[in-house]
Amino acid sequence: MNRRDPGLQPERTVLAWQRTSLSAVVTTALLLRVGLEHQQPFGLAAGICALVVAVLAWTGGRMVLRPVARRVVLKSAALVTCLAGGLVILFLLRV
Amino acid sequence: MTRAPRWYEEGEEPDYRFTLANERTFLAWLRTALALLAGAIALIQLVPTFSVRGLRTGLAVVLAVAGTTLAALAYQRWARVQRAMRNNGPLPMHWLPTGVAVVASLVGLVVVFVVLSR
Repeated sequence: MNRRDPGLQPERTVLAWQRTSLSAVVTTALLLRVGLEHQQPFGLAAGICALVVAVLAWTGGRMVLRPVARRVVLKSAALVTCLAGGLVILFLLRV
Repeated sequence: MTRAPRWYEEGEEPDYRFTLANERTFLAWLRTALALLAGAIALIQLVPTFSVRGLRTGLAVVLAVAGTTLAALAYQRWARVQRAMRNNGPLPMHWLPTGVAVVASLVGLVVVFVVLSR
């Protein structure tokens, strides 16, 4: 993988992880703000989940050259996003 | 969850570039899911209350459900494609893009219609 890759795939993959981390940060900010504004625990919990996704995605980006651990990060990111989504639904139904 | 599923070891290791491409696609879907969740929140935060009671919340819930299921389906798609690549099989078709487009457009249309008809 240290051969020159004309497609620059590892670099593009790192960037994809970083973009995902950024999206998660934006969602975190939105959710935390709304959770604090309404003093709603579901909203705050969803915001924490989004923050965890952001950290996971940042970790995934650092691991692009180490494939085995990445599957766990990938699956965890999907799971925590689902959890955040569930909490958002609960938040919406309570607000 | 940290123990690798059976399919992860079967077949042969695909060209790492295909693995990375699959991974980038998963991340793109995950970003879409996050955007749908953010959209659900933005809908109740930024759009004024609709005349029909509960409609705004209902639409927000639709977006949040879409985002949640998309995150799960994104992983499922990644796993299926990875497995197919390992076994040199055909890549599985997926209705994800169509489904997301339909849901997002419908919600968007309803919101525009309601906001414009105030």
